Amino acid sequence: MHLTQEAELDLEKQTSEPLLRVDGLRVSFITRAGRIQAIDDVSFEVEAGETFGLVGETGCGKSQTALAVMRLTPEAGVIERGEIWFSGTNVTENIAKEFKLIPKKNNRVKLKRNKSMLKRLDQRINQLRGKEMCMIFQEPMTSLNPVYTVGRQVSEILLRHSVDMLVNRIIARNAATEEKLKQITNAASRRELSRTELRKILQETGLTDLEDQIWFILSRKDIGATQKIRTITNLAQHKVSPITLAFLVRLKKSKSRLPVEYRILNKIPIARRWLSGAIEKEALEVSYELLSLVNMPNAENVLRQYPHELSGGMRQRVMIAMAIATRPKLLIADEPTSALDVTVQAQILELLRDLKRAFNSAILFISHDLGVISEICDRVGVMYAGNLVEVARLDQLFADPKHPYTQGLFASIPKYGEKRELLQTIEGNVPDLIDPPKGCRFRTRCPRVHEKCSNVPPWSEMSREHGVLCWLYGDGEKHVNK
Amino acid sequence: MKLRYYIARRLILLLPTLLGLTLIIFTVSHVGGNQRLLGEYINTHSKIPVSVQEQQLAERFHLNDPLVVQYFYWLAAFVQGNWGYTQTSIYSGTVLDAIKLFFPNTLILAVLSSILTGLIGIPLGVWSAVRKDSVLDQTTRVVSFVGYSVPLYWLALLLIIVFSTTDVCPCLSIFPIGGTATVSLIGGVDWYVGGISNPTHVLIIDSVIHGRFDILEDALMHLVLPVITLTYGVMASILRVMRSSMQDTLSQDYIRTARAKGLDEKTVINVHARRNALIPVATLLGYTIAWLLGGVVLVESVFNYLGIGYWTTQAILNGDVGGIMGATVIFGLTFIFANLVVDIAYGFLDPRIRH
Amino acid sequence: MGLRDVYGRKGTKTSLSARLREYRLTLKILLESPSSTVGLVIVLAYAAIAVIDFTYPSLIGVQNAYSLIPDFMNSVPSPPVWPTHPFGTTFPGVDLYQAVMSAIRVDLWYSLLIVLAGAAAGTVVGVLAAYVGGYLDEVLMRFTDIFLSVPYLPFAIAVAFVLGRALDNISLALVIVWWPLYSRYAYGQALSLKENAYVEAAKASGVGTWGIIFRHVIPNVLTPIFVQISLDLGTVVQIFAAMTFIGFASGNPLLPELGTLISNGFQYAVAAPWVIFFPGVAILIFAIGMNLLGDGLRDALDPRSRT
Repeated sequence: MHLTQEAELDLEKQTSEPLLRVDGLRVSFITRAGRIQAIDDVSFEVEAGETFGLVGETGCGKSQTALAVMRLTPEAGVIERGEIWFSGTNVTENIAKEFKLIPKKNNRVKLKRNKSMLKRLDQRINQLRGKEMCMIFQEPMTSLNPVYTVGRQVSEILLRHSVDMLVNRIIARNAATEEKLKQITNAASRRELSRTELRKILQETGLTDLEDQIWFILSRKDIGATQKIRTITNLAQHKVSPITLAFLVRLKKSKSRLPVEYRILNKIPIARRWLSGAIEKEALEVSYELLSLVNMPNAENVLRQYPHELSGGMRQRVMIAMAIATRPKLLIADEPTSALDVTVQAQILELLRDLKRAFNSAILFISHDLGVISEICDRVGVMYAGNLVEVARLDQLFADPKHPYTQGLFASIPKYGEKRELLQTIEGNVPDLIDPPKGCRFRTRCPRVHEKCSNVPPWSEMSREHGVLCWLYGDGEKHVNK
Repeated sequence: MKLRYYIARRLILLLPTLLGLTLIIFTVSHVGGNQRLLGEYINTHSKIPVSVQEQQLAERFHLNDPLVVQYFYWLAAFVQGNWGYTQTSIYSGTVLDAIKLFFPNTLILAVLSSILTGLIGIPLGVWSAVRKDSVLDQTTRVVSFVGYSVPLYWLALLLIIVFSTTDVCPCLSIFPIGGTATVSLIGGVDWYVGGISNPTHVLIIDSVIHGRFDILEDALMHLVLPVITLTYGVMASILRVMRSSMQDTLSQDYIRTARAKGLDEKTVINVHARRNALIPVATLLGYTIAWLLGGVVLVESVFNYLGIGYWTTQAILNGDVGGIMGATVIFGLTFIFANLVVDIAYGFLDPRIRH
Repeated sequence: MGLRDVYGRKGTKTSLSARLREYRLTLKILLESPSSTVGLVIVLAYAAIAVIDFTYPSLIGVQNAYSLIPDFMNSVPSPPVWPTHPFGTTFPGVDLYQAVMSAIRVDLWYSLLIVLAGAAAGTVVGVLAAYVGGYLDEVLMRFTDIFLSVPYLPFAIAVAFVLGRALDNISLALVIVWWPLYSRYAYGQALSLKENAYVEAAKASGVGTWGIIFRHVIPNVLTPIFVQISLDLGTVVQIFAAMTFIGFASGNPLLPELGTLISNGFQYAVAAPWVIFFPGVAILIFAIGMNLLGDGLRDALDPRSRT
């Protein structure tokens, strides 16, 4: 395909501005025991379409970083400082006004939140959450609501964010006639259609909104070619009543989610069936397609099942299906495979790789397992005790780790064929985050510690993509953000 | 499992429970009833000597047979509706008739209280948990705490005192339903015959059916105080459990997932959180209903409200065995069926149970 | 080296000093919360009244701790007057203050008895069923369920009625009604404990079934049971008074008891509200205190707050 000049310029502009930019993030937790400084001055960027990994031990703050990006920090936590820019929008505007820390006796602090600001903030972030950035959590067992079916939970996200997509699909299907669909089926039976070819034909027949559905049918592996053709032709049969169609057309034209008079009608049970019922059914259809995309066996039945009837791997697939439903620009995966056994782990990773290729989403991948990180990430950030100590490209990190902590991590991996008496470890323990060591937080365990380390180390860039937070590689310059 | 199968299973399990209930009643009535029973039937004026009479009666009532046999005779009579006789100051006749007379009133009282509790208690519990430590929350906690610490009958008495001395609302009733002012109302009405109204035996409904709205108003006024007392008592525990359950639910992972999906807070609370929070409340409903039935006894006796509870207390004061047995039967049956409804509701709320 | 040597003859029961430390920690956490402290104070006050009433009644101004003293000359209730009748008098001419003080002792005594008896019986049954399992489990639990299928107040009424109207019979009836709750509760706790390692260890070292039940399982089930007891005490006092109120008064109408006092004053309530006010408040405050204490204890014993 040939890019126009405008499109080329557009692309360039896009690539200069990162998709996600975290700048000087500081997150603390106010607990009875004291103030836990979970994240202290973390900065990194994720470009569109790249997979950025955050690796570190338990308690280093990697999960909390992800949660902060989504503004899902738990109740006791507060983002004290920093900026988070997503796709050009500042997610953390006016952060200082959101809360007040009132010091009390015993070195304790009381957290007071500005409730009205929070409400406004919620509204704003809910435009992004679930739509442009989606998250997969670590514990699939408890992350799904046990009282609703899988189908309902996946549809929910579509009904919230992609109503226009659903409406367009229904309208397009109603406009489809057998002849128009014949064009597609004829082309498909003659040769393997590529996606762009399909798109062209659909453009000619005016059925562009059906692209996803038809492509899904064409790429199904469980039915034969004739069956596929029959399914596509049958699409013309799936029509909705004229009232519904009129409503949907009206809906498409109006700006708000539901025009006023229909909002009232929507509350009456029977009328609702006519109006929104079609949309909900369509959402279930799309959910089915999504579940198939994530290789869920027996997807049709799964839609009707409850979470407790599924295994861990299946539940995680459901979560992934929910996360990709809106084709988000950023997918945050918080240790998605840690609760699963190894074979399922491999499948899920494979799935994520495929999805990334198909949708070109960026992934922020959190893990404590260097092995998993190496399978899927383009760039990696290493975290320790709330600090980001090193950021590099995957090959750079593995070939030439700079920070003593990273070096320690790699050294402690037992190597095949190596004979040892004791495993190599990093001496000492992770520091208490209520009262962390002043300056470099790793200095209590670092084999190369010296006097400068009692001051906060600078961030030094070893190369364009390789940065370290360590006195060994730089002097007291100001922090450079990358 | 489909909801249908779950309900069917529950219904089948009902039988042994009912059987167990009859066993208990039989045991209790036999331990307490035999001598008195004989005493009822002995005719002191008859020519037949007492000892012979006793023997005849023993034969007639199978009192000499082994206990198991007696049980079956009793069970047969029981199933046919012969539940004994009651003789109290407010009503004498068969137990079944007494129940027909009194139970509908108690039912209305209990049902109204339950509805009010649900309408007020559940939303209040939800808000209280969501706006934790707010003024609303603190007040609710104090109010509910007092509610389950206060003796119910004492509260009823207090209410009577308050409302009778200040004449704020002449809706108390230290007189039976109908009240002194309205015995005249009811007495002159042909569908209120012998204490039982037609056709539903429930004064509120019947008065509407017959178009006598003045009686309706009067009956409703008489219901106000008892319902308030009972509701307050029940609501206290429901509120407490709802609040703590909601708090637990809100800290669950799937709530975080719901927020991550970009759903607005209202949806998160009402759609995702509330239904899960109701599950522990539903488990406790059985216990709450037991409490309700006990509370009914207390409240009715203080307000002289003509229901099963009032009948029970009168039976105690009069030493009336039939009354006590009848009351126990009806309470037991109500409880069992109420639990059945709760179990079904529970199965509806929580799909995990159906498997 | 057998497990007996490792764990000592008492099995895995902790040493005395360790347990004392735990109790002190519980007390400390309890006292941190103002509401629990209030509850504790109230309960202790009531306990003090009961004890003093039992030993030196004159210390709190009670002339006769075992009987109300009627004054038929002035049988109509009179309002509170300081200092002769601080609570007023009730029918028939009884000084309400003395009556309430003694009644507190009576009610507390009976309620304590009821709860402890019910808890003991229920716990043993529940633990037995959970630990032994199998056939015994089914039988015992079905038995418990039958009792639970009847609402408690009417059932207690029926039993008490049959046994005869006396305070002791009411207590017995309430025990019969109460133990199934503990049975269920203990059953659940014991089931989860059964899988614990130390039970396996005890079994492995040859401790017999009864030994395990009494020396290992029950002591560890006791903590949540204890919390439940403290919560129940407030409820049982209420129910006990309720039953006497309804009319199960003992053959001796002059026995000081809170429910009886309220029912005695029932007819005079509207004209002389103090007659029912003071006995009722006595119950109310005790219930509040006990509930506060019970809640506080439950929070304090929650392992999450003990770190």
